Amino acid sequence: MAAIKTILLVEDNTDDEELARIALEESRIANEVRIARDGAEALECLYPEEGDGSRVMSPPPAVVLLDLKLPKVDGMEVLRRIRADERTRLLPVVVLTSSAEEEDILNSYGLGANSYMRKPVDFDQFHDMVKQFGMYWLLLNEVPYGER
Amino acid sequence: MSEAFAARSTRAGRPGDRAAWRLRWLAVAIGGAAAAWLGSDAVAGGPGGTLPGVLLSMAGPGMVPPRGHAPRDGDDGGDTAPADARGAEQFRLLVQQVREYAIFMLDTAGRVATWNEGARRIKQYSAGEIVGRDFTCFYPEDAVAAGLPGRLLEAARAAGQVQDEGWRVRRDGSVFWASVTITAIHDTCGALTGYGKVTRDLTQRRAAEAERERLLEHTDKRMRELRCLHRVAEEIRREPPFTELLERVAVALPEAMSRPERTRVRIRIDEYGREPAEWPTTAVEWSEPIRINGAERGVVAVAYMGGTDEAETAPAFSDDERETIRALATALGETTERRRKTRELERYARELEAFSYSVSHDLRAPLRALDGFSQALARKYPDRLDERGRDYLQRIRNASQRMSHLIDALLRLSRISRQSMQWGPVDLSALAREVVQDLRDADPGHAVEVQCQPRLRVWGDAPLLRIVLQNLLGNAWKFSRDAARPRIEFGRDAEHPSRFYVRDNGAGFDPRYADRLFGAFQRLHSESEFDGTGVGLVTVKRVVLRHGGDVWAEGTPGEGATFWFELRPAAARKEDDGSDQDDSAGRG
Repeated sequence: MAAIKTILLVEDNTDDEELARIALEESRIANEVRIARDGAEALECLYPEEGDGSRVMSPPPAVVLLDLKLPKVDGMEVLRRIRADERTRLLPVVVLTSSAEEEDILNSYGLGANSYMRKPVDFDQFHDMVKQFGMYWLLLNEVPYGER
Repeated sequence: MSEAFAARSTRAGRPGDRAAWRLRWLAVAIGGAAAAWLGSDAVAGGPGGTLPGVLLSMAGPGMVPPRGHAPRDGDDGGDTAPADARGAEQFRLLVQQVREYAIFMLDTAGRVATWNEGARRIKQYSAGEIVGRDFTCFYPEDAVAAGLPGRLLEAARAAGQVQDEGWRVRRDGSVFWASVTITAIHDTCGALTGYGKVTRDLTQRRAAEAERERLLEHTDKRMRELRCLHRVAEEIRREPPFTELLERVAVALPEAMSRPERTRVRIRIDEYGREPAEWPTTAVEWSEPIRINGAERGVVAVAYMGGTDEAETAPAFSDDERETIRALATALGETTERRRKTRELERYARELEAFSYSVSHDLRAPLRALDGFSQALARKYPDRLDERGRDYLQRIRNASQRMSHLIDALLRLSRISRQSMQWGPVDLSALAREVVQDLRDADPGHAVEVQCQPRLRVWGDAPLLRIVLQNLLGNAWKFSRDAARPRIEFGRDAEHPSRFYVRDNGAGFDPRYADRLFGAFQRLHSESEFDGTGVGLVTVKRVVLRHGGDVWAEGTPGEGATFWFELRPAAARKEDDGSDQDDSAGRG
C-alpha cells in the first residue's frame, strides 16, 4: 500500500469538526485528518504558493471534505480553484454541508464535485454517513495521486 | 330619342348619378314643353336640336289644345299643329303638378316666365308674385355680387345646358341647398328664346350626406383610437423594457389622432424619455402630465406638424383626442407604479430566499451539536450516567431532531410558495395509488382498506399535487390507526367535478376547531397521540390555493374526517401568470 491516505476537512464549525472526529474515530478510520477553518486555509493546504507554504499537504489529500458556507473564500470558490488548477483537477472533492437547496446541489456538481452529502441533525445518521464515506473514499476508491 | 339623350347627358354632370340624370331629363323635357309654349318653331337645346318633336309626340295625339294660353311672342301659334299644341298643353299641366322639382321658364333676360307647384313649394313664391321678376332673387347676395346668375345663363346659352349645386334663397330669406339645371331654348332658326330651369331642394339629402360622412369619419377615428389603445394595452401586458414600452406607445399613439402622419409624440417618465426626430416649433401641442401616486412624474406631449395648406397649420385637438392622450398618460402612470411594486416584491423575494438559505444552514448547525454531543455523551460515558441521565440526553436529542424537522417543513412550505407552477395533465388516481403504496411500505403493520376512484384527471402541477395527497392520505393513514377496521376513501364529488375528498374513519376532530386545522403549527391532537410537524395542512392549503381552489374539512370526534379540496386551474392560471412572469424576470 502507498503512503497513508489523508483527508482534508474544510470546516469552520468546531462542533461539526469534533462530531466528525468522533464519528471517524468510532468508525475506526485512523487516517490523518487535516482541518482548514476557511476557504483560504483550504487553498494553503493544497498549493505551496498560497500563504507561507507551511500548511501544504504532501502528498496531497486522498479526498477533500468541503463545507460550502465558509469564511473568507467560500466553498464554491474553493471548488472552482481546485478544478481550474492542473495539479488538483482530478482531486476527489465531497461536499458536506447543511444545505439541501437544489441550487447548491446543482452548482456543486456543475463545478465538478464528486459527491454531495447533507449533514443530518441526527448523530446516528451522521455517524453512518461518515463511516460509509471513509469506507468508500479511503478504501474502495482509487485516486490518481496514489503513486506519487 | 335615346341618341339625342345620350348626346346631352354627356354635357354635364357625373355619369351614373341617378338624381342628376333625372334632372337632366326633366330639363330636356321642359325645354321641349317650352318650345311648344313659346311657339311651334322653338327648339330645345342648342341649334339643330330635335327634341321638341320627340317630346311633343311623346305627349301623344288627341289632346285638348291649350285654352286661354297666351304665347309670349310670335304668331299666336297659328302654325302650330293642333296635335302638338294639345300635347304641349298636356305636358304643361303635367309639369305644373310636379311637386318635388321647381320647373319654370325664364325669358332671354332671365325673368321668370312660368311657375309650377314644385317651384311654389321650394321657393315659396306664388306664380303671381314671381312671374316677370328677375331670377337673381333666388340667389344669395354674395352669389349675385359674384355674378353667378348671369354666368350660369351665359354658360347655358353657350353649351346648351348648365348644372349647378349651391345655396339658393327662399322667399322668406332662408337658404336651401339646390341642384339646378338650366337649359337654353332656341327657335328653329337657332335664336335664343329663353331658358328652362329645373331646381331641386337637396337640403335634407345634403344634411343626411354630411351626417353620414361625419359618422363614417367618427367611426373610423374611433376604430383607430381603439386599435391604438388595444396595442398599448398589449404592450403594457407584455412588459417590455421600459424604454421600449415608451417607444411603442409613441408609435401607436398617432393612429388615434386625426392626422396620424403629422402627429409627433414626446414621452418622459422619470429618467426614461422618448423624443421624436422632429418637433414642430409653432404648431398646436397638447401636454398631459403623468401622475404616480398623485405626484407629477412625467408628461405625454403630442403635437401636429404644420401642413402645406395654410388653413391646416394649426389644427386644434378634439375632446376625443385629448381624452385618448389622457388615458395613455394614466395607463403609463399605473404601469410605472406597478413596475416599481414588482421590483419591490422581487427584492423581498430575494431577501426571503436569502433568509431561507441562512435558516437551512445556520439554524441546523446548533441542532447537530445538541444531538451529536448528547449521543457522544451517552456512548462515551455510559457508566457515569444513570437511567434518568440517559433519558434527559434522549430528550435533548428528540427536541433537536424535532426542530430540525420543523425547519425542513417550513423550508418546503416557503419553496412551494416561491417556485413557479409547472402546469400539465395530472392523474390524481395514479398519484394516490403511489402515495398509498409508499405508506404501506413505510408502515407494513398498519392494515388499511383504501378505496380510490379511478381516472381522476386534472390540470395542475404534479409534484405539488403529490404533496397534497401525501399530506391528506398520510393524515388519514395516521389518524385511522386506532380504528377497528381502518378505511380510507379518495374520490371526486359527484355534483362538483372540481372537488375531491379524502375520507377516513379514524380519530376525527371537533368541528368547532375546523378553521384552525389549516393554520401553521396548529394541532388538534397532542404529540403523544399523533406525531407531526403541524405544517402539513398549511402546505396543502398553499398548494391548493396556487391551483385556484380551497380546502376545508368535516369531522366528528371518533368517527373520522373528510378533507375536501377544490382545484380551479383556469382561475389560478390567470392570477399565476403575473407572478410567474415576475419570477422569471427576477431570475433573468
